[in-house]
Amino acid sequence: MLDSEKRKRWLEFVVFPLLLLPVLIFFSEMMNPIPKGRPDLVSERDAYVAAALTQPADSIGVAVLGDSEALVLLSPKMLWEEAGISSYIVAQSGQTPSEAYHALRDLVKTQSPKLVILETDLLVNDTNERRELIGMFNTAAYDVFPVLRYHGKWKEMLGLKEPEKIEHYRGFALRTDVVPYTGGEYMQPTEKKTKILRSSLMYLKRIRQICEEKGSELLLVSAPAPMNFNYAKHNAIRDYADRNGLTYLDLNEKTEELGIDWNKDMLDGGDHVNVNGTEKITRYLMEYLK
Amino acid sequence: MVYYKLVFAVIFLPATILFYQLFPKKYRWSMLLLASIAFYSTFSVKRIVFPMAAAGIAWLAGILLEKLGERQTAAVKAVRTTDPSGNPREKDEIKKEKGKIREACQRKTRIVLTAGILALLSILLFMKYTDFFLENINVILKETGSGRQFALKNFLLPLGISFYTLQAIGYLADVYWKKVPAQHNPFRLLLFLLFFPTIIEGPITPYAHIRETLFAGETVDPDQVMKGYIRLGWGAMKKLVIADRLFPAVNVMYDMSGDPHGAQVAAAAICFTIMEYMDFSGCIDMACGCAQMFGIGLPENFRQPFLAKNASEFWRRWHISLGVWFKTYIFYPVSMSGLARKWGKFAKGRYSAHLTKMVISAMALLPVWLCNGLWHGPKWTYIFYGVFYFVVIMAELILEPFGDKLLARMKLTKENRFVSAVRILKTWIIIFAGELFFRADYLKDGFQMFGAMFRDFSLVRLFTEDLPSWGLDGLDWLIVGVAFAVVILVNLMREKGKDILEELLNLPLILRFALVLTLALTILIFGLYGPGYEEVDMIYAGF
Repeated sequence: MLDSEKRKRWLEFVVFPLLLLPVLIFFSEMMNPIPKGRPDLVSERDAYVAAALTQPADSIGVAVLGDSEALVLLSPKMLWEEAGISSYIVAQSGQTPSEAYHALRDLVKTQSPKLVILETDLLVNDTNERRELIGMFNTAAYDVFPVLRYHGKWKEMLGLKEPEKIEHYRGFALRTDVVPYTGGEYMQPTEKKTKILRSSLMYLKRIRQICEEKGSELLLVSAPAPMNFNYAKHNAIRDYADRNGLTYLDLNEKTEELGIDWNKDMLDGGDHVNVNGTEKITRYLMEYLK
Repeated sequence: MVYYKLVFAVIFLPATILFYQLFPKKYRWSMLLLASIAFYSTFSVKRIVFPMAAAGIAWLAGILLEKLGERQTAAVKAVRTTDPSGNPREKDEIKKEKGKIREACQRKTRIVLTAGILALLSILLFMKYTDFFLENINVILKETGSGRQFALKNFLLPLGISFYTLQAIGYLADVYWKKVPAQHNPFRLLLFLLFFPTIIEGPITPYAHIRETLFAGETVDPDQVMKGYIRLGWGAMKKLVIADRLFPAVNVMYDMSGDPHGAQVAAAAICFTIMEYMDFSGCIDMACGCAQMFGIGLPENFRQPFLAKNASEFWRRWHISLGVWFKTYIFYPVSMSGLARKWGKFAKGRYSAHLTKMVISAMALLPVWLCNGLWHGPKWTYIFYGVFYFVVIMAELILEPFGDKLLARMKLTKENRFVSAVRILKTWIIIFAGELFFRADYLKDGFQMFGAMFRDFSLVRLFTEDLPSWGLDGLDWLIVGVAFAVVILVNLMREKGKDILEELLNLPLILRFALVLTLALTILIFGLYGPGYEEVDMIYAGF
């Protein structure tokens, strides 16, 4: 039997979180910049998602989800000016499938994109189930208590510091550096298939469900990235797309068609395209979307 | 997953406590082992074979040492006290025979001990120092005009290898000295090495210290859990609010591409020392807090180190577990070695007692400080750091009698407040100078910074030109200042012998809740974590 002192102490363990809960909720309400329409009060990593979430209702026709590959996948300015398509890059550096799902879930509260493009690197990058599980927990915690995500901007929220201005156009950050890719052919056909993590499949299913509910088409796109893409990854995504009736566009197979110049169009030696590469992809997508 | 992550505090720990409690008392230690394996696996599943191998080696060698000891005892006992005709044997003869048996057995135990230690050390040395060795060979080859260069191996160090290897070696030495019985269950030994609170940064825990509580499976006590969680939060505050906030500033300050001036270098050394102390002691607080939740007391690793009055005392207050390990397993054995005894005999009557003692101290301290430097990592800056403390401590030991005489002449005692303050200040200068080299990327940078400290010492330039470029604004410095002041206050209370956690538990409920809530909110709002922040690795986890 527990003595009364111990019982009291255990009770404190129940009471303290219960007390902490309203405090967390209060600070979360206070520090969440999205309902306040202040996307400038978030970290640079979350800036594009926050900016997308604070756009006027029904102003985004094409939403692009994904990690840093998605951040340079297309130019919304070009797409708008040359094809009249309103798009937004709702991506984050290192975005995880769970973050992509949460971003889309929040986005469709005010937007009804006709097309959702998911850049596939987040499905086949070098993460593992353990890391992904921890990431899922964190994303869920940030979702329930936004203070955990936005706490770093307390100075700006209290007006003690001017928010840092993050230059971007509808989620697209202009990157002009040129570091050529010199590694040669990288899409060597193989029967191998990279494993897509179970957690990633779970969130991909949820993303599909949202798209179905909102009547949006889901397009899987792999950006040209010779340093981190290969045929085994292609096979994994192709297989998933075929099994689920999704359209998959692997731009790594179409680099000649795109006119990618490995000496001029790469930002960092083969991991991401620079603005030249982005323009070529955007032009291709424009034709493709027609 | 590390101790200051939300998932650790709200999922991993509560789940471990719950399952630990649900397990029958006899098997609770196995729950800790499972939790430790799970914890280690979040870093690497494959590399868990390294601590497993260390546990296997320590287990096997420990059993052999015990068996040899038992055999020796049995053989000594079996020595006949009578000759075949039943007459009592000469006492000297019996003693001689017993001595021979002991010697033969001890030779075998020494071989087993040496083999065990070498096996453990060779893994550590191979994984940690191969590239350092190859790099230096390459430099020599280059200097001698040889075109040959060895490719570096770039091994990824198994988490905690520097810590658990020392624990395993200490365990073997203790079994050899019969301080502890050998552990017959290899899984228990694995838990001792892999225990999740100590695996990242220690404290390096002697087996004798932990063996009773670690396997006792005591019922979880709410007071201990509460104290543990508060200490976990306190450590997280030190790490996330102070140390990580100073991290970018320290990086800028140590950038040697500009023209460092005296005040900048001094500020760099001071800020890095504070950052390192907050990072390391914060991690140790978290480790001790976690262990405390299971009723397991870990040895304290810090005891207000900045109140030390000399370098020796500093090392009795800073990274205590490492100091104790070196003292127990290197300093004492060398001090008692045949060589030291021979010197003692030779010097007796020839030289003064002070000189005799100094030479023995030097003999024992040199390997201690070389190992201390090398233990921190395969870098010349660390080796220099060890040698630096060897020189400083030897100088202190040599000069101590002269200092005492000087004080006596001035009619002052060491306990005098002014003298104490001067001695503490002197120790700070030694600490900061040591940390300057410790943090420097290369030894030449350390010397360059050290030299720069003595020229163009401009506080005005520091505050007007340098400070704004360090990446911290006034509010950041204010947070660092306030939080650090609270840490100092708590340290001063601990120095006076107050048990802060006990006093906290005895406070009225409302006040206690308010203080805990303040701590939680401080971490929550001012802690550097979450998206947008690049995680700062715990400094000593890299060693």
